[in-house]
Amino acid sequence: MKIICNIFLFLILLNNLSAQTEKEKWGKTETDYRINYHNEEIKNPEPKSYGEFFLHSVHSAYRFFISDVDGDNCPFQPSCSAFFVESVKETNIFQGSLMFFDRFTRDMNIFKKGNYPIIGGKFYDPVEQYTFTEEKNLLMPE
Amino acid sequence: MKKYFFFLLLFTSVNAQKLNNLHSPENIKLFADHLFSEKDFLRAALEYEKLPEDDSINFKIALSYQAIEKYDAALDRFAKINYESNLYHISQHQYFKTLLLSEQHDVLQRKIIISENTDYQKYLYISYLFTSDKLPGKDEFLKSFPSNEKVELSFFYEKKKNPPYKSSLTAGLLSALIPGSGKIYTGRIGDGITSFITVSLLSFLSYNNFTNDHDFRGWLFAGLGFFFYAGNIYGSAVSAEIYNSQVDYQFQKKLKEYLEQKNYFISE
Repeated sequence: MKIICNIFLFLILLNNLSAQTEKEKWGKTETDYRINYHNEEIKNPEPKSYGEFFLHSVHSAYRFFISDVDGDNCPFQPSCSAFFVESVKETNIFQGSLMFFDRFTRDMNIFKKGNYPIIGGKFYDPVEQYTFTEEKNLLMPE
Repeated sequence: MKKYFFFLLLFTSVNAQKLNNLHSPENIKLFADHLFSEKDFLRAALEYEKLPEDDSINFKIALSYQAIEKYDAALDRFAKINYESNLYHISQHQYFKTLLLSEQHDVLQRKIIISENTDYQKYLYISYLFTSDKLPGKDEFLKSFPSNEKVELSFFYEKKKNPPYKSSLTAGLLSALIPGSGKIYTGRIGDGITSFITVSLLSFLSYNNFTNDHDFRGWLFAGLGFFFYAGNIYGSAVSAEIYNSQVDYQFQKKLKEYLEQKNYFISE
């Protein structure tokens, strides 16, 4: 009887040891504290033309040499560099550049508080408002 | 003795259960009415739906759905109310109110134009205030509404006829003449002043470098200045568009608040 009990206990022990199969679940995870970019396409761009290749090269260089070192300092959402890339994609290089310089002027304005809705601690100022095409009413601050 | 007592208890319990049938239609209606008066509209609608359909039940269900913004369900219920019912007239008013609330202006305008019933003309005109410039003359417009509301309605009428829009072209031209002035024209004073300072500073730097034979820096500042100048013209034109959409938004918001306050001119 004692032998049977020992065998039974041993089987229970084996069963318990093999019960936890997802050991990775309890492991240390890599936390990414960087704020997400406005969209994934900008984070991982796939250029379709020479123009886009040039644009993404400039943007990547800016991110690598300036943005990553300087930190997340742009008060707007999307940030000025993301705004530039998106505005060029939405329109064309000429209109996108004009939109970017206009945005940059707005960024330099020290009295901008109250002009934009605040989302996630940043002034929400999407590209769609400046393309002359989209409905803007939904984006107006209360 | 014990047996008699036990049977008596059993008999009264069974009888009491029979007498207090909680799920009788009368009790459901009482409970639904209570929920309705407590403004618990979702549960009220669910309780009313357990009852056999009649005009008053349909009307209450429709009002409940309207209150919780389930407009399609409310419209279905209002439409079921019999033409000969006492509630038909008020339900038609509520039906048009629901169409206004759900912003189904096309449907509303089509139905009222087809019906040719002058009682509902006011909903057509309210709908025009939201959607188009097909407004009739002011006197014709005000005729459909109560006389004590004419001052406020004429304010909305004037705002719709002559909205205080800003012109994109004017804003662009102003900014082309004096950088930033277009933005000031559209109410973005801070942006306008920043634009003026930026373009002026870059122009001065460019001029200063050219006069001192620093051509590269001269061209660099000139190029930057040009882009800021062009961006400011573009931004001023867009700023006028944004201003106009804000005017529309504020107009619609005030009109909705006013109509809500007046219960869309439906008497209780």
